[in-house]
Amino acid sequence: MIPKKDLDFPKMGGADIKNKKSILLWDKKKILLLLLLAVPLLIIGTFSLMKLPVVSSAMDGPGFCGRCHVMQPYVETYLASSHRDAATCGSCHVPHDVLRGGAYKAYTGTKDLLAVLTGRDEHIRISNLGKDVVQENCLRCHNTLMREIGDTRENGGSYCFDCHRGVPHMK
Amino acid sequence: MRDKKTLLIVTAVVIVFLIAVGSVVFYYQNKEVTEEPILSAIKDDEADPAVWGKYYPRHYDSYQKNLIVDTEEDYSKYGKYGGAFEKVSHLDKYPYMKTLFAGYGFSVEYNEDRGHLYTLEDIRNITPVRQKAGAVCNTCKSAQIPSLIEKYGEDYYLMGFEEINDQLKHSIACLDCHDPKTMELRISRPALLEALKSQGKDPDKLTRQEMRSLVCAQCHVEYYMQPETKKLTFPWGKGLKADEMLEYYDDLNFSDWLHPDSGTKLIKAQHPDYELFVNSTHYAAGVSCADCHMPYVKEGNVKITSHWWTSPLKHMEQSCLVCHRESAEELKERIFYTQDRTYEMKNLAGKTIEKAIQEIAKSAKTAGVNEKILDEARTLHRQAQWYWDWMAAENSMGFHNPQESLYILGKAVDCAHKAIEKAQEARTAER
Repeated sequence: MIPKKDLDFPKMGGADIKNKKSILLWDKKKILLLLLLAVPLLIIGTFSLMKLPVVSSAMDGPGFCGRCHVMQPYVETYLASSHRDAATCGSCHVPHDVLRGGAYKAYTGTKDLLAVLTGRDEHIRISNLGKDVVQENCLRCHNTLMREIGDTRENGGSYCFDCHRGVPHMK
Repeated sequence: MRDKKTLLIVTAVVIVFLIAVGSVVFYYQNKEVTEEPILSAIKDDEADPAVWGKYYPRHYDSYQKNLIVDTEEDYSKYGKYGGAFEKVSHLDKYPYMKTLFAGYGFSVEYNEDRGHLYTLEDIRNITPVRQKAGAVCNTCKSAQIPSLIEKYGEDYYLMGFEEINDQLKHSIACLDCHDPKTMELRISRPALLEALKSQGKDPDKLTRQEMRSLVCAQCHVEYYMQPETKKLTFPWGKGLKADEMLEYYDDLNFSDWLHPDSGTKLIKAQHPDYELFVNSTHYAAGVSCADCHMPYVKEGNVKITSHWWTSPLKHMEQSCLVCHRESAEELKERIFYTQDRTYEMKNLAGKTIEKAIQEIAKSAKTAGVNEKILDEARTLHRQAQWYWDWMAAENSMGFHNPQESLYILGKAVDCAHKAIEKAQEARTAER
């Protein structure tokens, strides 16, 4: 059916101009549609890249995060903790899933870089968003242990690290 | 039309990709798995902890530890003050208390408390003089009380001690602090709900961390019974500090009893544990009662909230060392440093008040005494004993708030000395 219709088109008188117009119109729509699809995909793709095996491991851990002097006390105390064997910086400080993880890492990485470049990095304090990320990651690994208690943060409760202040590195 | 086809393919690929990403996200969203028991099986007014225990065996086990009764030798390994003892008398330990509480039930029998599972047994065995206040004495002794208050309404407070006590089977239990439907913390005692409302707080909008203290504040607070209705009320109208409560009582012209020797209208303070804790350094740091008294403890491969209500000195590892980096020994030394000083000041204040009572009594018997100055001495005695009792009845020997404790006891000593001076002045002054 379709090929036959295709063949039919050129035979119609004066259809050429109309068809050209319609193709032009159609093209604009197509471009718009493609853009609408491609831009988010590109963003998602770039973010996801942050969590893909090679990039993820290259841009994480004491070797990467500890490269700036300002991080040294935290990296050094972390290296002396038992978490050293089980978790790297991003295991706690970046959401685990690809999509949110990638987006958060891109955002917080840019923010930290800007802070270092502009010299506003004297006092490192975790952000409220960052706290929620860490809390989620505490429970991601320790969920079996915490299955009775659940999320201590629920309904205005405390974060795990409000009490476990020195875990896994100094505050 | 080939373009249409391409578009279809592109759309399909995009959809597949999005589904794939979605599934990956979903797969990794492995959030904490919580054990969910059959909540609806527990009745709304189930006061029997054993029934709850079927669904929460680990919590019930830790709750059963409340049956442990300390011997003085055992307890000395942990702490110096407090402890869950069977009938250790305050009156033997602090003889001056007999003078201070003369004319009141507390001078007849006043024992160290023994824990939440003995509330009914101990209140039934106390001297009948102490049960005279009536039904209201039972309010913090059983998990069945909230439903009885609901049943009788405001009449509950006017009923006799035994009328209510005979109906009680279960001591403090799960229902006192938990909603059986959701297991969320809840406030079951009307007095606290009313006190919170009087402070402009919405009891429905309290955070989990606030609730972890407020469930304790249902009972571990100073309270009084309104003269006419005998309704149990918290004196929080002017604030939670000792001075503010005294002001509140003075405005009401409230007193619990008349001291037979000095003729002073006195107020009995009741364990203001929560009020002293508020404004302490721990409270300011966001710590709740439960954080120290009900720490998360490991039971096998799971952590639960301990329901053994006792001195944190018995489990410093879980209570203190989670936040503090110092050793348990160092911290304990710090605690004793606070408690030893509070203890000394408490006894100093108590003995000074005893002297004040004797001086006022002596003046009262003196013919031609200046009554106006003597009344001033009585007012000072009322203040001194209020401050002293605030700290004497409080359960932490100062640790809940060291600075405030010594401030309050300092006030007590000062008022007692002024009372002595005034009483002596009343004898020598011109009429």
